Amino acid sequence: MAVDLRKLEEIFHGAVTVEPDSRADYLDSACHDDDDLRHEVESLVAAYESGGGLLEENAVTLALEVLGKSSNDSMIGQEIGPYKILSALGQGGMGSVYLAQDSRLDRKVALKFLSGEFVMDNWAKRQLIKEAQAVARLDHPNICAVYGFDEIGDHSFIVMQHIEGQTLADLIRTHALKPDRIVPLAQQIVSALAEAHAHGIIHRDIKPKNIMVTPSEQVKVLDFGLAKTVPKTLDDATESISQLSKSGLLVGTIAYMSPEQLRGEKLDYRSDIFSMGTVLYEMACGRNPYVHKTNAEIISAIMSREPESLREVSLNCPRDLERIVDKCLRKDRAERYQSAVELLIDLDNVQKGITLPLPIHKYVNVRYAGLAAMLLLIFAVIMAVYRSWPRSDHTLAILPIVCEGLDPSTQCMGPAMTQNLVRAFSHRSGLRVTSSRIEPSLWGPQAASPEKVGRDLNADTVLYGRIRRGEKGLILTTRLQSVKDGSRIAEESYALNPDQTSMLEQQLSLDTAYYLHLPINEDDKNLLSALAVQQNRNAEAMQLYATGRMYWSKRDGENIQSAINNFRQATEKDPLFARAWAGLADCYVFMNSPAYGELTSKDAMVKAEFAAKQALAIDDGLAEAHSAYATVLMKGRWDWENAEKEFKKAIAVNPDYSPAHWGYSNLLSHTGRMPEALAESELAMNLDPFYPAATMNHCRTLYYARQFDQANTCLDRLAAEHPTYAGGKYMHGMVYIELGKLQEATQIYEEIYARDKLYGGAMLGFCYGIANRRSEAERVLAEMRELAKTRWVPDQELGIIYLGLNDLDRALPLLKKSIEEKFPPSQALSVSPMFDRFRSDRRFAALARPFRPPSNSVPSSASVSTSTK
Amino acid sequence: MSSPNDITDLLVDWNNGDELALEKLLPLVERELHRLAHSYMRRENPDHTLQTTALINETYLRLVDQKKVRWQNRAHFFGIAAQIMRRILLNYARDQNRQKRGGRAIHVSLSEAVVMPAEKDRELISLNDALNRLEALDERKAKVVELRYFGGLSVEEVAEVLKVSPITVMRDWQFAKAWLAREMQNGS
Repeated sequence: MAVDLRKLEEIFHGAVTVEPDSRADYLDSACHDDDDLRHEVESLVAAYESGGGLLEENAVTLALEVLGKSSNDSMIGQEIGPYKILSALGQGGMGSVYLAQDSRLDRKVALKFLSGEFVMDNWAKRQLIKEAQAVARLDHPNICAVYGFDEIGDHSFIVMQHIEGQTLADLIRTHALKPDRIVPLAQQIVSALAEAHAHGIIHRDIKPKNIMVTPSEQVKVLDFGLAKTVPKTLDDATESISQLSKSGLLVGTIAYMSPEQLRGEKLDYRSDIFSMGTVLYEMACGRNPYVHKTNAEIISAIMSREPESLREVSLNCPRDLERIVDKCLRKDRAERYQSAVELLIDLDNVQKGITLPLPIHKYVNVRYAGLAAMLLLIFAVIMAVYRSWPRSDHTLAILPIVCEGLDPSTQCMGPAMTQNLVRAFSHRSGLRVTSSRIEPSLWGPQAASPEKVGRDLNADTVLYGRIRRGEKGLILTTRLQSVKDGSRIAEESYALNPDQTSMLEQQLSLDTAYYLHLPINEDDKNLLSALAVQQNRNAEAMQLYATGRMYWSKRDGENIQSAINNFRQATEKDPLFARAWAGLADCYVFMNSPAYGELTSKDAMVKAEFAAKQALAIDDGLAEAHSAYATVLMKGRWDWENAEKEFKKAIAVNPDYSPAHWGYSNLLSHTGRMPEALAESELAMNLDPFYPAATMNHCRTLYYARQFDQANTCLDRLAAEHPTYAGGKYMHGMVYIELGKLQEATQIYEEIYARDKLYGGAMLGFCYGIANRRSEAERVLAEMRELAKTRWVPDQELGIIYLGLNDLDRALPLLKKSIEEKFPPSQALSVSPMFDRFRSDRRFAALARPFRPPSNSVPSSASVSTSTK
Repeated sequence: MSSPNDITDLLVDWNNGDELALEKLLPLVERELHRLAHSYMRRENPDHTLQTTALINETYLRLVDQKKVRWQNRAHFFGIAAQIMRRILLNYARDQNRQKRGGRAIHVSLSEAVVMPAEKDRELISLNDALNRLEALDERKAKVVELRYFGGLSVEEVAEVLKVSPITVMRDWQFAKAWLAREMQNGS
């Protein structure tokens, strides 16, 4: 009977992995004739598929809910100035009220503190002071008196009269209130309101919880926390819903708000009248007239629906009282009681048993029917603003997805996918979709420019893609390009499973929404969860990953850091998320240059290697991970042989992945294979013509190949296309030196140096040195040494300045140290033309030996095919 | 009274096998969680899950004397926090369940009442029982569930605490979930 747990576990994992269709076959072969075992596995699989119930959530979340609702006693027992906190009295939106003993006057008082996060919130504090000031002006038996406002230590609080009794909310819950009790209580509440209104104060938060009833049936109105004097300017008046929802107050009190309050309009006394109507209704029948499950329904009811008639709900409710409540609850404030005093008069009449005059007609206002929907729309927009920065009316042109190099027996699913994409996108808000039937060739060196196609279609952005066969199956590569400046917004590659294209189309739609900063909708959230389940991924991690890629696509110092943060969080949420690890590795390999920040090259390489290995351990089929790992091996380990293997793997997995080609071109140029290097760098540039670093890499390869005129032309073009790209200028200076234009070169580095000493110092010092401007070179050197006291300055940077000064005795030890530390940029010492002038020196030549190509290396197929052109 | 020092000492004592230390520790941690939970709930943020790890972190930072407890003990703390969370939630679930069954009409005002979402209390108790049975069968799997569910730890963090690979954790977690779900269905 007893089943071997280990065996059970193994078969269970097998069973949940295989497709449901073939599960029976699998179990036949795995369990043989062991019926007990089979039964066990089947029951576990069934339980697994029905979901883990409680376990699908997180206990910490549950604990938050549970603990968050229970009382907070951390203040109790504390002594604050003369006040000793005795017990908690209640919680408001932003404040907690405690009972305290005032040791100076030897009396009990109530202290109202800002609670939780509001302690440090200046807006909340101002609100608290306002409340104290407002109530201090009022002297009325039905208004809870304020004794003062105090600030002691970190605490700001109001000192109030302590009232023995219970809240009207508790009273209503525990007692059915009879009319002869309701009316006297109501009279007291309304007379408190009349007093406040007479002082120009609107309460704005009248509800049973804010009304205390003492054992002797005396009413005390509390919590003028939202009270506001009648605004003198329009600006004052517009503070309303947005501010309320900021504090979370809207949620708790929404069922007592007036329609105009929900709309965020300027309020007057008649808003309190409406709220008073809801309180009266609740006193009479025990429940709020607009009670519903969701806020949206409550809002809609307050805006547009008449509550059930009070006399239908509560049979013994006097007709007069019903009429009073009706008049308070009119949607249009012009039809309500126009002042608390008017209401008070009617209540007095009921009390005296005098019948009220009959209303002429019962007016039902339908004007507000559409308002609830409008309000929800406003909420949605606010949400969208929080979530991203929506662009108004963005037009996306979707160009046909093409198939390339597929054998004729494979049917191209491009056209069908294109159609489905158009459909998927047209459901998105904030986006207009156009498409084109023509199939301009957008790929390869002679490609038409996508932005031109987009311009013809009047689009802001163009989405196009192609399907090719990679080593492990079909790959869809998509690109998103801005029409305005031709810049590449994003490129993504997806493994394409012909049976499951619809999920992919949705994912593409979602990714694109991220890149275009479109609002994320409910479908997207469902999709994220579905994708997460399908790929066994954490939905939150996928969201973080998508955000990370967005930053990565614009990599420069700050964006790289944001990308790292997002990828890192994604891996923390979901440690088996290979793509997120690969993204992280991709970021860190960029950080080996001082231009990207403080991280020393060694740290960056260690981090990159760790991330890349994690990615590869989980998924061997990611071009990004192979390429990042190759870069680590090349730059960090100087291990040319294995780096080459990894670059080739990356290219085999995804021949379209541009960074792998330009990484590989670097490797080739460093190991003396210039023709192949140029072919690879050109290919990389053509794969990614709008990304400046790929073009820059090609220019650099031309420079390494000593083709200085071509390098110069290349850099001129780069500067024209990407005038703000700093790396190009730096490179251009080096080319100018070789072209004998030392003056121009020096000017470039002077400019860079003025902005960024660390980045520009070495080259500027070098230029001064070889121009024999020794004192200026020495000044730069001194300034760099000064900088080194506060920042990490690589030894090589100083070594290069000494080289320029032809002081090899000082230069060589520094450069030697850099090489021994395998500082990535030190590889240039062996390769770069700028050091050719020192190669005749035996010591330099011995230090900066050329790198040899790894034995038995064969260039990749990509470079062979393009180099024959 | 509950200075970081005391709590650190209690943690150390408990770790050394002093069960009484846990009894003293529970209310202190609970109070801190209370305080934090309040400020988190007040934000009315629908994405509570985003903040759970932050909550545990913050609790840790407040409670434990950083100078005395070294960084590598962080994983260890998570393990303890998960156990504490399990105990706290179970206590609430049992209290609430007892009150429901006993039908004692104690009137608790809303602000003092601990409200566990409907049915969650019973589910939690049956989960706890099932987890005890799983522990007898395979201790590590039970630990994975405790850390992940009660501690809110990620797969990687669990792997770090248990010194196994993330893949093992993932497999344990899947199996344990299925096993517990079945037990809970049968048990109730």
